[in-house]
Amino acid sequence: MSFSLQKGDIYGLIGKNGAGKTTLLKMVSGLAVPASGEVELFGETSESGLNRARSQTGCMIESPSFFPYLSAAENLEYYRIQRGIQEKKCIQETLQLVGLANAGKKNYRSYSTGMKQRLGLAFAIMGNPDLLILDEPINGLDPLGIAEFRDIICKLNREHNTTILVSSHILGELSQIATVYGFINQGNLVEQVSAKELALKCKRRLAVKVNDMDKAAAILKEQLSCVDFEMTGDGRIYVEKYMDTPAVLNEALVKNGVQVSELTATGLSLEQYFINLVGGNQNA
Amino acid sequence: MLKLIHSDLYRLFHRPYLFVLTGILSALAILFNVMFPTQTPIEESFQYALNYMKFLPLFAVMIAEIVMAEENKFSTLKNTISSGLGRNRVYAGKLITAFILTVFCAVITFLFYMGSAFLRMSAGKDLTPAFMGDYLLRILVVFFLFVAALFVAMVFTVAFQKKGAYVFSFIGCILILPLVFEGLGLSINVFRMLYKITIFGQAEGLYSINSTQLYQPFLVAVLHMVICGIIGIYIFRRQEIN
Repeated sequence: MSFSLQKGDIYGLIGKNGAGKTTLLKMVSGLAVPASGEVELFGETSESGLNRARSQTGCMIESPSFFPYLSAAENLEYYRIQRGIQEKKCIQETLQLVGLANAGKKNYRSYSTGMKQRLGLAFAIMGNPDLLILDEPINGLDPLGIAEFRDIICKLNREHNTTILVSSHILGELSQIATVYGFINQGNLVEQVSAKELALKCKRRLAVKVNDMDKAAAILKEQLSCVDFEMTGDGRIYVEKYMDTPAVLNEALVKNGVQVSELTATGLSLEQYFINLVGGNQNA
Repeated sequence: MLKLIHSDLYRLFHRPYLFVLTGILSALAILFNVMFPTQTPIEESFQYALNYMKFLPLFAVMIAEIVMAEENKFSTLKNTISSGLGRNRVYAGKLITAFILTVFCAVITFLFYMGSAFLRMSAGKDLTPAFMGDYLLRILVVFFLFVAALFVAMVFTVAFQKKGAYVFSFIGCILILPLVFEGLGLSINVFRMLYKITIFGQAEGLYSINSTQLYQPFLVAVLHMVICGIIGIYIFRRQEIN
């Protein structure tokens, strides 16, 4: 599987259970060793190069895990020393950012699921990494926590141009932050599409497959006064205007000698798009 | 690697376990001296103590537990590995941390042992500088055997992530297997040889061998460290971290 992230992307990784999302993220973050092939991160493929690259990443893979007998600040201090982050104040700043500044000396073992998730995020973002890898980061968060999480992610991306690779089952949530989507199924990347392209693909429009694109375009402009349409390389014209009256469009084209071989309504939610992509409801 | 060792020491000195373990070992050392009548010459109690030191390597699993096994138990190792610390460095760092903790425990326990012995009993005619030199050398060899047992324990904590499995395997390897070899060695020569290259076998014979033979347990300890170090890194490098 090969996929690439551009600096500043928020890459939403989508796939059903067992599709290989977590395994992929584990390989990128060095937790799993690939049976074949190689991992390339920031252009590095050697073991030492990958370790260097990973030192610029922040990860939260699966559920967050910390030492239960240490507090949030102590756990972060442990990893601050380990990562060689010089500034001690980054701990309080990060805890403040994720809403754990008031957790005090309370040990991790007594944290709620939401607090654990917040500490996991704090660990990942501590030291402003260039790449953030998040696996199901909003599991266990309440609606307020989800909104705060979204704000933090967007703020990091906006202010520090942090590249973010995030997998989630909550597609509605993902659709609010992702700028690029990767759909994976059975260990393969089925499709990689930008948010703009996906929005276009999911838009509710009529897709008309015709034998003569130029003639059809002329009819749309001159006879139907429709200028808001799109022509694609696969012989289809996408028209938004006649969504509720497709017969009018069909009649105008046919009467002027344009053969219409397909006329379908398109427009999907991210969830429907994903279901269609991986092979229907029985697979999803 | 220094950062990893530093962070581990920060974590381990932030909890009571290490101090409790050191306290228990020190209390056992004092208790050992208390069991002797006050008129017993110190050198006699020292000789007697050597006979019991064969069980000390069993405590290595407790150091391995807080350094490595806890990381498996709480799944915290994934945070370390994903931060870009190479697996070889992580494993070596853990071994060095375990060694530092062993030194910490050993020095304190030793001081309590010697202190309580000298406070409670008095020196006999055999307590010469040569005797003390030989005795301290034997204690040093026990320390090396303990460190070797630590390397064995680390392999088991990496190979078997379930606590019951690694503790049982460690005790089986350090204590039960040598006893089996010893028993079989009574009739089959090869098992007698195998017994002699075990940590327990060397620790048990420590009080009876003369000082010119002390290189033997030292070599056995080094052999265990090299073999277990290689096996440990080999397993750890190929393991999926959960």
